[in-house]
Amino acid sequence: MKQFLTLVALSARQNWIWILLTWLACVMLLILAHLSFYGSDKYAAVFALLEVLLGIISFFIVVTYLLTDPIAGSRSQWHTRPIHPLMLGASRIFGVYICFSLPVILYYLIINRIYDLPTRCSLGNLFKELALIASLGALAIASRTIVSVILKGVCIGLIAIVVWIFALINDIDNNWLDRSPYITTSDSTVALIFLLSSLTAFFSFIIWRKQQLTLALTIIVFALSYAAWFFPWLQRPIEIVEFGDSSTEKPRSEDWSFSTVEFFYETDDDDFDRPWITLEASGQPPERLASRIFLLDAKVNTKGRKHPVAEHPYSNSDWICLGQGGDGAIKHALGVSLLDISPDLYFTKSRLQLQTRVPHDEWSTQDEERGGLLQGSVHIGHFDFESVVILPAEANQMTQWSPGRSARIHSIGKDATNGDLKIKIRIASADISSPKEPLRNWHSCATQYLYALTDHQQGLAWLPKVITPDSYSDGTSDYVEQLTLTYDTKKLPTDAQLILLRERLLKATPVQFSVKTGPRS
Amino acid sequence: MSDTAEAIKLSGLTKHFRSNKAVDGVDLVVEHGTFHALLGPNGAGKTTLLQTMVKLLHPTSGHGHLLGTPLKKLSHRDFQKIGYISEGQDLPERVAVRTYLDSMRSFYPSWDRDLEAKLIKELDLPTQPAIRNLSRGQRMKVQLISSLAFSPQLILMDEPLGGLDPLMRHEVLAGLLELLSTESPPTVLISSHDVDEIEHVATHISYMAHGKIAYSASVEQMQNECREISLRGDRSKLPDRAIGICEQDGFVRYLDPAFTDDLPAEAESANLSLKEVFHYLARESRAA
Repeated sequence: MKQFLTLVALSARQNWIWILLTWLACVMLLILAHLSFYGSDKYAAVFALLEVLLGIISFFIVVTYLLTDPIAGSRSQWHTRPIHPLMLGASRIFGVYICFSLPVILYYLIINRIYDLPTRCSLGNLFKELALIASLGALAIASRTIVSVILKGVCIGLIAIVVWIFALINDIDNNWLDRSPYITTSDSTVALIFLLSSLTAFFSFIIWRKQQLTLALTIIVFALSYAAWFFPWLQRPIEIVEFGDSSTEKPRSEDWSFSTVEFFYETDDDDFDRPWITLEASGQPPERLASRIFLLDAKVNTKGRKHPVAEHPYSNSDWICLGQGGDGAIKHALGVSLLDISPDLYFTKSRLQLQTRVPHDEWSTQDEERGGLLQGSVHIGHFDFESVVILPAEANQMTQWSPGRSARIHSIGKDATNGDLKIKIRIASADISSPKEPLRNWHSCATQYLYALTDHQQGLAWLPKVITPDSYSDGTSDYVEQLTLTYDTKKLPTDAQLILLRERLLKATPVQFSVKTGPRS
Repeated sequence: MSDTAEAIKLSGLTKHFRSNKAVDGVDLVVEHGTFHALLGPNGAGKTTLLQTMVKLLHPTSGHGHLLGTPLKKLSHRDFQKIGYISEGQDLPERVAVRTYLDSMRSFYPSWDRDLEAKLIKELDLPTQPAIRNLSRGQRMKVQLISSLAFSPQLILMDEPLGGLDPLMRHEVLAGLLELLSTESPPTVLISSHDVDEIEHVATHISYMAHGKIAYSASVEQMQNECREISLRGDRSKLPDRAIGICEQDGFVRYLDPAFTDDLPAEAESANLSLKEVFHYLARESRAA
C-alpha cells in the first residue's frame, strides 16, 4: 500500500499541471454549457465544438501519459524497480483516474443534470469513462510476460465487447455529440471508436511493440472515427415524416375525454420556451381534475433516422389542477424543460402521456395521499405534437406558434414564366420587444426553418426548390419578415399540406398549414 | 549473494527486430564481484542486450540467468538486488531530488541511508532542485544513487558515462569504486565507449560487435595474451586468429588475442592498452 501511495503521490506531483488543466477545461465547459442552455444560443456551437475537443484531447492526454510518463508510462524503466507489476498498473490506473477521468465523469454528471437527461445517460458516460480507463489500464499493466500479454489481450477484448453490447442496448450516447445530424449509427458510434482505438492500441503496442506507432495509429483511428461523422456521403437528406392522426384515449370508467390537443411553446422574458398544452375536453370531466406529465415518449428525427431519445418519465412533476367543469380549453403549464432536443432534430412521432387523478376529497398539491386522490392512475391520451395547428390554406390565414408570434400565408400563386408554385409566408410578432423573428444563424444551429409539402396519403414530402427570405437588420440582428417558398409544380401532387417547422435550439415548434396546390395545369 | 558461481550467465541469447539481429546468440558469463566492461561500437547491440537482461525486451531465443534466476522468471523481488542504470532513463522531471530518493527508499528494504548520504556528499549532488533543473551529469548521479544506495548485488549500467565531462566521469566512477571497495563488492556490468576510464576499474572486458560477443576475457588475461604483431612480408604467414589486420609502411600489423611466444619470423610483438585492443577489435568488426 505504501508503495502504491508513493507511486500515486509521485505521479500526482509529476502531472499536477495536466490535472489542473483538465479540471479547468471541465469547469470552462460547464460554464459554456450553462450559458448555452440558459443564455444566448451563440454559445451552443462553441460549447459543442469544445466538448468534442475535450473528448479528443483527454484521450490524447491519457494515451500520451501512459506511453511517455516517466513514472506511469510504459516506456518507464520502473519495471526494473522492485515494484509488483500489478501495483505499477494500479497506480497508473489511479493516476489516470484522478488526472483525467474524475473531472470528466463529474462533468458528465453535471451536464446531464443541467440538461435534465435521464439517469442512464450519466451511467452510460460513466461506463464509457470506466471502460476507457480499464482498457488503457490493461495496456498499462505491463509486466512483460506471455501471460500478461494474453491477460491484456483478453481484458481489452472483453472490455471492447462489453462496451459494444452496452452501447447497442442502452442508447448510452444520448449526449450532444450523438445528436449531430451527421450521425448514422449514433448508438454504437462511440463504442466503435473505443473498439477500434483499443484494437489499434492492442495490435500496435502488444504485438508490434512500437510505441510511437501505437500513439500515432490510435490517434489517427480516433480522429477518423470522429471525422467520419462529417463525411458528406454519410449525410442523409431531410425526410419529412408522415404525420398521423392524434389518438385520444378515454379514461377508463369515465364518460369524458380530451378530444383535441394544442401544443406550443411560450417564450418567456428570458427567451426560454416553455411548452404549453391545451386540452379541450368533451363530456363532463370531474371537478378538480388533476394532471401531471407522466411520460414523454418523443421519437426524434435526425435528418432521416428516427430513434427514441426522449423517453422521459416525469416522476416528480407537479400535480396541477386542470380547471373546473371541463367545458373549456384547459391550459396546462407543464413547467418543465422539454428534454434536450438539439437544433437539428425535430419531433416525428412524439407522445405525451398525461396521468390524471381525480380527488375524492380536497385536492392538494402538497400531499397527494392526504388529499385522498383517486386510487391508481389513468392514462388519458397519447397526443402527437404535430397535431398542433392545421388550418386551411387561405391567404391571410394566420396561425400562432407561440403567443405573440405568428405566421400567415400572405399569398399563394404561380410563377407566370415557369408555373412554379410560390408561397409567401409573413412572419410577425406582436411583441414589441421582439418585433420580428431573428434571422441569426440562419444556416447554423440556432434558429432554423424547415419546409415541406407533404402528402398524407402517400407519406411523401417535397422540399422547396428555392427559399427566399426577406429580412432586414436593426443594426444588431437580422430579422425575417417574409419567406418565399418556390416549388416545382410538376413534381407536386394535387393536394398537399405545407409544413412549417420552426426550430430553435433545444426546442421544436411545428406549425402546419393545409395547402391546396390545385390541379396541375 | 547468490549461491551460483556466476552473477550473469547468458546462453545463446538472441533478440531480433524483424530482420535486424540486434543480439545474435550471445554467450556471456560474469562472475560475482567482478567489474565487467561491455565494449563495442555504436549499434553493436549493447543496449539491447542489457534491456533484454532486465526484461525491458523479450528475448527472441536463448536463455540466461541473473543471480541464479532465469531471465523469464525474474520478478520484481529480484530487482531488490539488481540495479539498472541507463543513459536515457526517464525520471520524474518535476519532482525534487530529495523527494525522488525518499520515494525510492520505500521500494528497497535494504536501502542504506548512510550510504545514500555518503554518495550524495561524495558526488556533490544538490537535493533540493527539481530533477528537470539538473544537468545531464547530475541526473546520472541521481540514477546512480537511487540504484546503488540499496547495495545491489548486481549493477547493470548502460552507457552511464556518455556525454559526461571528464570531471563528472571521474566522480561517477569514484562512486562506483566506492562500492567496489566494500567487503562484498557487487558485480558490475557496464557498457561504455569510454575505454580510457573503464580501463582503470574494469576487471573483465567483453567486446561486442554485430550483436555478438567477439572477445571476452579478464583484463589481466587480455594484457597477457593480447599482442600487437608487426611483421614484414605477405599475409600468408598470418595465424587464423589474427584480428584487425592492416598494412602500413610495408608492415602487416594485427592483434593476436591469444599470443604465445611462438612468433613468426621477422615479427615483433608489443603490449597493448585496452584502448588499442578496442581499436583493433573495432577495425575487425568494421571489416567484417
